[in-house]
Formats: sequence, C-alpha cells, structure tokens
Amino acid sequence: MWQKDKTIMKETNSHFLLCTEKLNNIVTQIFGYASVIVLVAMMLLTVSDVFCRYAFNKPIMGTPEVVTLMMVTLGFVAIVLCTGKRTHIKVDVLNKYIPSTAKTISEGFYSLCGTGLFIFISWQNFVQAGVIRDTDNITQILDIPYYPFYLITSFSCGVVALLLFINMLLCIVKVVHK
Amino acid sequence: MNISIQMAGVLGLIVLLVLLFARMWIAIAMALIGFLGFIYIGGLDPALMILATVPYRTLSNYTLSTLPLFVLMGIVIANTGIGEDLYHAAHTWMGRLKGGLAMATVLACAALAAICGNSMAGTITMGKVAVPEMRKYKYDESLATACVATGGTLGFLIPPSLGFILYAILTEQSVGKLFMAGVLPGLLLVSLLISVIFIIGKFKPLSMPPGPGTSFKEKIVSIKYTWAMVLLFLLVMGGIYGGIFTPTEAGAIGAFGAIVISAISRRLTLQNLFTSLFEAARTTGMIACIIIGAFIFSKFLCISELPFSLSEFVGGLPFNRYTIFAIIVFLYILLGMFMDVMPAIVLTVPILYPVIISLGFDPIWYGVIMVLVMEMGMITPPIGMNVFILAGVTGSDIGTIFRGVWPFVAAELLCVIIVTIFPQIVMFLPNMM
Repeated sequence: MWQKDKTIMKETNSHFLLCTEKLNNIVTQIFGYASVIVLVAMMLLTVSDVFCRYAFNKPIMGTPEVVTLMMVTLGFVAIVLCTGKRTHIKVDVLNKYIPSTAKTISEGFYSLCGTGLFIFISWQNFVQAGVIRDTDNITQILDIPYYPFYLITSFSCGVVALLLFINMLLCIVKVVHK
Repeated sequence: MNISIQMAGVLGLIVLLVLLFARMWIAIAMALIGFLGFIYIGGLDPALMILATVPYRTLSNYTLSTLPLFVLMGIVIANTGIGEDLYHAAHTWMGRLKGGLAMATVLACAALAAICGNSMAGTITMGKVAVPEMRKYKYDESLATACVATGGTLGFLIPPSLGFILYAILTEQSVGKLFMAGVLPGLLLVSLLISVIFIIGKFKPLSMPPGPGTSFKEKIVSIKYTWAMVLLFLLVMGGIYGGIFTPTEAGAIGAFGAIVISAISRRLTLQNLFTSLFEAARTTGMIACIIIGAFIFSKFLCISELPFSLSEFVGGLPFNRYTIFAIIVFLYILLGMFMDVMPAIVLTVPILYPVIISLGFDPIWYGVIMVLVMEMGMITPPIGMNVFILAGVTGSDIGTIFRGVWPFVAAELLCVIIVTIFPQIVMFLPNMM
C-alpha cells in the first residue's frame, strides 16, 4: 500500500510530501530504537532484581519505581512507533463495502481529529510538567523527579500529532490525485 | 437543546459506535468522544485536566508493565518457530490415533497458548504447520481448518493472556488471580475440543484417518526442544501462584527465558531478536493507546452517570440475575463476531462491569466468562477474526472453515455453561493463592 502511496507522491511530483514521508520514516525508526532499548532495559532490570533478591538476598532498590517510569516512557515512545507504522487498531467489519476514496477521505478526517487531540494532550502535559516541577514531586524511594516523564509524554504526543498531520496531507494528495 | 447527562452518555456511546464502524482508530475515537463529552457535561477546564492527567497516570502503572514483557515472550516464541516444535511433539505422540493430528493440533495450540498471550500466534503457527500435515493425510479440509481456528482462540484463555491483563488494568483486579482463574477452564475447554474431535471421528472416520505410527525413541526425541518451554511455563505460572514473583517479574523472566531458550536451541538470530523486539514495542504502543482512550472515555461515562443508572435499571428488572447474565453473554458473542477481543473488552468493561458487580457476580469469574465468550465470537460468522486470519494463512475458503467450526462452537458454549453452573472451576486456583 505504501509503495502505491510513494508512486502517487512521485507522480504528483510533490517534493514536500516525499520529504514528509521520509521524515515520518526517520522519526518512526528513531522512536522504534528508543522503545526497544527501554523494553530491553525493563526486562533486564526486573530479571536482575529477582536474581539478586533470591541469590544474594539483596534486591535492587526501587526497581518497581524505575520499571513504572520505564513503562510510561515505553508506552508513549511506542505510540509514536505504531502511529508512524500506521498500525493502530480499527474495526474493519465494513471495510470491503466502503469505496477506497471514501476510505481515504475518512482516514484524512480521522488523522485531523487525532492531530487536534494529541496537540491538546501534548500541550496539557507540558503545562502539567511545569506544575509537577514547581511542587517538587518525586518518587518515594529513589527521589526521581516526575516532571521529565511528563515532558517525555508531552514530546511524544507532539510527535504523534505531527505524524498524524503528515498522514492527513498524504490522504489529501491521494484524493486530489484520483 | 438541553439533554440530561445520562442521555449525553447514551449519545456519546452511539456516536462512538458509529465512528468505530466507520473505521476510525479505536483509541482516537474513544479519547475524542470522551474528551468532547466531558466538555459538554463538565466544561472545558475539567476536560483539559483529564487530558493532562489521564494519559500519564494510565501508563504510570506497575501492573501495566506486565503487558510488554508477556507480549515479548509470546512474540519471541512465535518468531523463532518453537511453536512448530510443540506441534511436532504432539504430532509424534498422538498422530497415530484416529483424529490424532487434529487432537495434536489442539494440544499444541494449548501449549502455545500457555506461552503466548494472544490467539493470533497459535492460529498463524498452526495454520502454517498443522493444516498442510492434515491435508497430507487426507483430513477433511473443513475439520482440519476449524480445529486450528478454534485451537488458536485458546491463547486468550490459557494464561498468560493479554485479555486478562487488559481486564485487570481496567477493573483493578489482580493479574495473578485472573491468570490462575483461566487455567482450569482452559484445560476443560481443551478436553471438550478433543472430545468433539473424538466424537466426529466415531461418526465420520474417513474425515480424519490415522497418521503414521512412531517409535518410543522418536517420541522421546520429539520433546527435546519442548521440555524447556514447558519448564518455562511452570516457572512463570508457578512463580505467580506461589507468590514468588509478581506478574511483572514473571513476564520479565518469561521473556528473558524465551530469548535464552531460543538462543540455546539455535533458533534465535540477531534479525529474529530485533524483529521480535520491534514487534513487541509496536504492539505495546497499540495497546497503550487503546487503554488511554478507554480511560478517557470511561471518565466521560462516569460523569454522565450512565453505568450507575444502567446498574440501577438492570438491578430493578423483574428477572433472575442469570437471565440478565445470559443477555450479556449473548451481547458478547455478538460483539466477538465483529470485533477483536481487546477492543471489545475496552469498549464494554466501563459500561457493563458495574452492572455485573451490582448483580453480585464475582469480577474474576466474570473476566474468565467474558474472555471465553468472546473467543467463541472469534470463530463464528459473519466476522470470525480467527477464521479470516487462518484463511489468509492456509488459502482455504472462508465458507469451508465456517462450516467446520459449529461442533467446536457448541463445545465452547458447553464450557461456558459448565463454568457458569460450577464457578468453582474458575475460582478454585485463585482462592488457593
């Protein structure tokens, strides 16, 4: 399908859209690697904690806290990955009954809705990060401040909004080209 | 126009369903309707506060970290071909019996379900391995494909199940207890499915001829690569049951163990590992997004008081609670025909869970029934997700697969009835924890 999209972009000679698609792929790849690193770290930390607890009777202090923060990071970074790969889950019951142009138009509209929504989430989490920093909100055992993780949330949601915007542009080009 | 808050909740739900069936991404549809509905009832500032707090707090949950780890464990096993080993072992031990290959398929699906958390892995793996083998021995195409499609659904019932993790997060129930609750119903369902194959074999012996005999040595050799996976399952589930690990720790040990075992058995390449890690991260992103959407939507439902009004209404109906339960089960079968298990869980739990609790049913028991019933929907027409996946993998005609599933659907329905009459089957292991 994306090969077809690339063809459309080449045919329309839209340098801007080719660049945005390239940007989509680069961003997706970067966030993909980041999420893999966090996932592996999460697994290794938890396994090490269990091993140290039973082998040496010395668990790694604050592991659940760190794992929880890693989960936040992994979750939001991975949302960028699956947005970039266009693999969000949808109900495909009526798929074969909807004409392809209607599908493209609706996907463009949904991407627009998603862009708006994620811009709001990004903005609100950025504001929330400031509030959390000002109130010195930290974790109970390791005193890790929470606000950087709100910033990660905000940044990731901002990137998701950007990727959805790119998708919307692509949908417009596809409809116009048809 | 001024509408009551409950009516706003109902309208929100209707618009959500319309958007879902119009192919809007589930996560965005739920979050958007939740946000707009909250603005309508509570105003803009509280709605913005929901966006500021709910996404972060939803993912900032230690229990949720169980999810990516069990996902990784399942994907590593599916991508490294260990599922095929499980089938070959079951095939070697049971292939000689009449219907033995079909029985082996169900057993291998159950074994794969015990290490993978979803139905897709079992369906795809067995579709690639077991169906060609059954074709080779002149099995009836309908039966061969139907037993794979049904066996695949075991992935959601036998722990570790992603469906149970999602249900636990949405309802704040214990993941460990839900995992344990799925074990005995899972075994019951496996034995019912094998009984169905046995009965079909009695009436239509030509539809499932016996496979070749194998020596005792071959049987022993066949478990060379599978014993480690069985050990891993016992370690993970035994650890949770015995309180040695938290479910998150069990997930990490399971994922790490799966990587080590596949590396030792020389199934794991660097390419395989990276593919599995990327796939696990992507799946985590998909599910995380849906969970965030579900939580934003459930905030809207809460402020609309719809679930509570519905609970009061249903509680006041002059029916036996099992009649209402039967209606809910029917609704889930219907939903399962059109949706995958996970979206169906996030869509229905915020609305129906309070109703179920107000009727006095146990939340753990209900979680198992819900998953069991939706599994049934995954193989029933018009939209049996597993059937579609299998048709894609095997090239079989969808109608042919659907023709064969009915005896297995009957077995699943029987399993629901047994588990409803004897809830102890579900609650025995969780109560022992």
